[in-house]
Amino acid sequence: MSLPIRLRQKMKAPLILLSILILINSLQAAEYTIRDEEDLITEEQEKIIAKSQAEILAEQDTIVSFAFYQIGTSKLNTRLNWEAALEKAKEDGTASDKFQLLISVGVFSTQNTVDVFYKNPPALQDVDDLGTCIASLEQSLGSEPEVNDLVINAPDIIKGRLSYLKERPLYEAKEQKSAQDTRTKEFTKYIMWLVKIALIIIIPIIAFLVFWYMMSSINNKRTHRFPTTKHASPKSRLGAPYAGTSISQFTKK
Amino acid sequence: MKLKQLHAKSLLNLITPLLIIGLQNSSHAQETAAKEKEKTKQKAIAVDSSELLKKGNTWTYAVSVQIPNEVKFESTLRDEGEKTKTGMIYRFEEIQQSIGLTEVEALKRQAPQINVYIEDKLTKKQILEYREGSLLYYGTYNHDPKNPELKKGMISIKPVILFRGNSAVADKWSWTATGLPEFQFRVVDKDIEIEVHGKKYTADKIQMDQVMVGSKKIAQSKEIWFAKDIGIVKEREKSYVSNGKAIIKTLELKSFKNSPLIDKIK
Repeated sequence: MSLPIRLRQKMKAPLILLSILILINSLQAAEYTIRDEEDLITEEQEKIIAKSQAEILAEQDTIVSFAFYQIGTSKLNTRLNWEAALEKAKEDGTASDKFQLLISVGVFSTQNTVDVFYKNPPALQDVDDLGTCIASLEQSLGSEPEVNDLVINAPDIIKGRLSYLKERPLYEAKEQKSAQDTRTKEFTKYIMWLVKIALIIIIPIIAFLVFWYMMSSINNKRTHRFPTTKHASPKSRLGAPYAGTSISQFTKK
Repeated sequence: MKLKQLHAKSLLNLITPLLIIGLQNSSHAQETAAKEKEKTKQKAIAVDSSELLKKGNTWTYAVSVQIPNEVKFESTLRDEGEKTKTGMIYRFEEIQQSIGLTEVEALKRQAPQINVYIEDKLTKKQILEYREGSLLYYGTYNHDPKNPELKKGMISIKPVILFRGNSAVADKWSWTATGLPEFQFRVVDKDIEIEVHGKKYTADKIQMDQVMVGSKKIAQSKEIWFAKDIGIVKEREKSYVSNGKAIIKTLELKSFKNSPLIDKIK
């Protein structure tokens, strides 16, 4: 039997609100995880980790997942599970392009082992920089004497390195821009210097040429008087018909 | 005659601008060289331009050292240590006091010397400078109780910058020397509030990693919390040993004040 129209309209708003809440919760569940299939950490420790995960997501925009294992599984399996979850999220359309880390902790009586895997790392100019930060993070977490020490100190250890990695691309961009601005400024200064030199050389040359031209014009306008020379008309001569030769005979009158 | 005068005038017109350029360039070059010389002179002379490392300034730290079971350690400390599942924890007090300027042969000038006392015994003498907001470390002399005046140790002309005053988050610098790991420093946080032994400080946090050249493995890492005009308020150092374990040393500032010089040298 279908619900009356009025009842349906009344339920519409609460239903929409409920679906939004479910959606938000499902998204949050996909953001970061704590995998502890062998119950290696206490509830209290899980709360501490969850709190730090939320803080890291809010402050560093990074998703940090934890996986604890002992004999039931292995480091490889924890990694494969995490990657499978990311793939599924991608297929479902809930994948994030945020920087994602998996802290895989092997809990053993003699020594804990820590491996850090990551996806969507920040793009840094120095390729070794990211590697050093991750290696430092792995060694620092792995050297914590016991699991409880790791859980208590992990937030501080992780936040420090992530803070650097998150800000570094912006810092590098700023440095690059500053270097570019300096280069442009220096180049402009150099061009201005060249122009100055050119003007210092060219202007006097032009001035000189103008002056030369003016002097030449004045000279050319002046009337020139050429001296008149006496020349005799030869009665007879050798060679050409005009007095182009010095050989001529004059008859005495 | 007029033509000759014309030639002379034209030559003068050509030479004069070249002379002017030459003079300008040489004067500009001289000015730049003079400025550079002044800068270098200033850097070399500006020894401890602040009150931070002045004579008598004393930092008292509460120290704890966690030694893993795998490391053989013979303690000479008063504290017998606390046994844990993974090793031993020793707690003691460390006092660092500036005795003022001292002659440093390697640097060919004077620099502040900070004496380090562990449980009232002088153990080493560090050479530091605080210049333009940056804390510079030049090296350490080991203390020989039989010959207290002897200055024997490693001093580097190029200092290790422990803290850079005008840095921003994600700033990075390093110190290298042939045959030694690379000391990499990264600023991870600025102006954070930290509570140490009941006191609140505003500090910058620096991450230091000693990276082995070639293998890229980390030999030692340190987290340093540095407060302006006070110095290091907290430090957590991890010296990695075999099997991924580490000797973890934590320093927490208990007090910072100017005191009479400690005369007890044992």
